[in-house]
Amino acid sequence: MLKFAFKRAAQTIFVLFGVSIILFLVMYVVVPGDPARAIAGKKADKSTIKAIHNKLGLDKPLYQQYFTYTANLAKGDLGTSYRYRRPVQEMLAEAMPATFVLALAAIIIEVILGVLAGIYAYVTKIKFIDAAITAGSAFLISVPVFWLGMILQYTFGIRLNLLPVSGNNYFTSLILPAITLSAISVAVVIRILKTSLKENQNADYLLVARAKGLSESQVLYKHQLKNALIPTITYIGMDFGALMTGAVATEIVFNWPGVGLLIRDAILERDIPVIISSILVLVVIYILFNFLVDIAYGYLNPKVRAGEKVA
Amino acid sequence: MLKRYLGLFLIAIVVIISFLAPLIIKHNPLSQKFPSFKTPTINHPFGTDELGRDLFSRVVHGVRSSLVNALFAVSLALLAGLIVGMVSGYYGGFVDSVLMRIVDIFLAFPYILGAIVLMVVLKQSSFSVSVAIAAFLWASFARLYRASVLEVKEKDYVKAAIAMGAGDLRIMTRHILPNSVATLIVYATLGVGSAILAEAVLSFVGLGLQHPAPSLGLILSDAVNYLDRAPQMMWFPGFFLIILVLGFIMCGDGLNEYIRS
Repeated sequence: MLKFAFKRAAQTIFVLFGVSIILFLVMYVVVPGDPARAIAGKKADKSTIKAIHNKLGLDKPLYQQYFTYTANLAKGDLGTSYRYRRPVQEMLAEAMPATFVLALAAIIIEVILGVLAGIYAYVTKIKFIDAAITAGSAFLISVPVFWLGMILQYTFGIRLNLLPVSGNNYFTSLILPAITLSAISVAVVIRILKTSLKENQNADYLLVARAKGLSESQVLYKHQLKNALIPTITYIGMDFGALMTGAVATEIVFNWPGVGLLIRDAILERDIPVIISSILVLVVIYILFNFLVDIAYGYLNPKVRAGEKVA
Repeated sequence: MLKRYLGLFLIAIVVIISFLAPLIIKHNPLSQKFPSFKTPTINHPFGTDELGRDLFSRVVHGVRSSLVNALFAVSLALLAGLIVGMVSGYYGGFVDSVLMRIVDIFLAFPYILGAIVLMVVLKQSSFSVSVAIAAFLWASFARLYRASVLEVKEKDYVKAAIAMGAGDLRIMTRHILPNSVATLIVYATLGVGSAILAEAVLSFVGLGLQHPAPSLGLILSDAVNYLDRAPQMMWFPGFFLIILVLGFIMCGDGLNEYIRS
C-alpha cells in the first residue's frame, strides 16, 4: 500500500510540474503583446518598459524565469492582476468560498438524490418510471450545464417567480445553481447505480444472504448496495473535473460570485494573470482530488494496487 | 442497433435543416434590419434577437460552424492521438513512458479549462477554437488508442509480418492500423459531441467565436440577459445544440455496441 501511495504521489508531483510548465509557457512566451505594456499602458516610454521588464525578471533567460515562477507559486504568489493591481491570490481567496459552497451543495445533492433515486429505479416495478429515468439520464448527458441553468432560471425565477435568479444574498439563491450543477451528474449516478445493482442481483454472495433467510430489503441494503456503490463512487470521483468546469458556467449564468465569475470578468478585461492563475488553482485542486481518490480506492480495493504494479 | 440509427437520424435532421432551410428562408444572419425581440412568425420561424437579426438564420449558421469546428477539432485530435498512441504502443519501453507521461499532463486538465487557457493566448478565430479543443482532446485518444495497439501487437499476423521481415512503418500502417482503428472511431464519434459542447462553452464564456459571428454558444450567452423578453433566444439554439450532441453520443454508443458484438 505504501509503495502504491508513493508511486502515485511521485506521478502527481510530476504532473503538477508539467502543468506548471504549460501554464508558464502560455503566460510568458505566447502572450500576445508584452505584459509590461499591459501593465504600464500604451503610452509608456521605453525606459519605463525596461524598468518593468527588470522588475518582473523578463530580461532573464527562460529557465530562470520558470524557476522564479514556480518559486513564487510555492510561496503562494499567483501574480498581480493587470486590471486591479491586486495580488491574484487575494482575489481568489475572496472568490473561492462561494465556489466551494456551490460545489459542495452540488456534490451533496448528487450523492443523496442520485443514490436514493438509483435505488428507487432499481426497486420500482413501475415500467414507466424506469423508462423515464433511463431516457431522462440519456438526454441530460448531452445538455450543456449553462443551458440547463438558463431553463431553471427562466422557469422558476422569471415565469413562476419562486426563487431568486442571481446573486449570493440568501440561502434560496443557492438552490437553483446547485440543482443546475448537480443535475447531469445525478442522472448519471442514477443510471450507473441502477445498472450495477442489476448486474449484481444474482451474485453468489446474495444467494447466500437470501439462503440465510434475510429479507429482500436486508439483502439490498446490507450486501448488494455495498458492492454496487463502487462504480458510483468511481464516477463521482471522475466527475469532479466536469463539476469544476460546470461550476464556471453555472456561476456565469446565475451571477454567483465565485471563481467562475472571476474568470469570466477577467476574460472580458483581458486580465491574463487572473485567468491563468484561477485555472491553475482549479486544475491543481482537480489533480490533488484525483490523487486522494486513487489512494482511497487503492486502500479499499486491493486489485487496483496489484494492477498498478503490472502496468 | 436502434441507437445507432436514431443517432444518425438526429444528426441528419439537424444537418438537413441547417443546409437546406436557408434556401427557403434567406435572411442574412448578420443583418440587423428587423425589429428586435420579435416572437416567432412564418417569416422568422425563431423570432429575432436583441439587435433585430433573424434568429433562425443565426441558429442555422451557428449549427454549421459548430459542426465544422467540432469535426476539425476532432480530426486534429484524432491524428495526434493516432500517431502518439501508435508509436507509444508499438515501440513500448522508454518512448512509451515518455509519451504517456506527457499524455498524463494533458489529461490532468479538465479539457474545457485547458482550452480556456489556450484561447487566452491564441488569436480569436474559429480555427483557434478548434486547435484549443484538439490540444486537450488528443490525450485521451492517444491513451485509448495505445491500449488497442498493445492488444493487436500480440496477434499472430503481426508476429508473422515481423518474421517475414516487414519494416516498422509497414507493420504499423498495414497490419496494426486497420485492426485497431475501430475503437478509436467510436471515441472520435463521441468526441465530436464533446467538442461541440466545448465550443459552445468557450463561446459562452467569451473566448470562442466573437460577435457578430453566428454561434450557438454566443447566442446563448446573449440570451442570459434577455430571458424575460426573448426566451426564444434560449430555446432554439439550445435545442439544436442538444439534438446535435445527443445524435453524436447515441451514434458513438451504438457503434460501440456494434463493434463489441
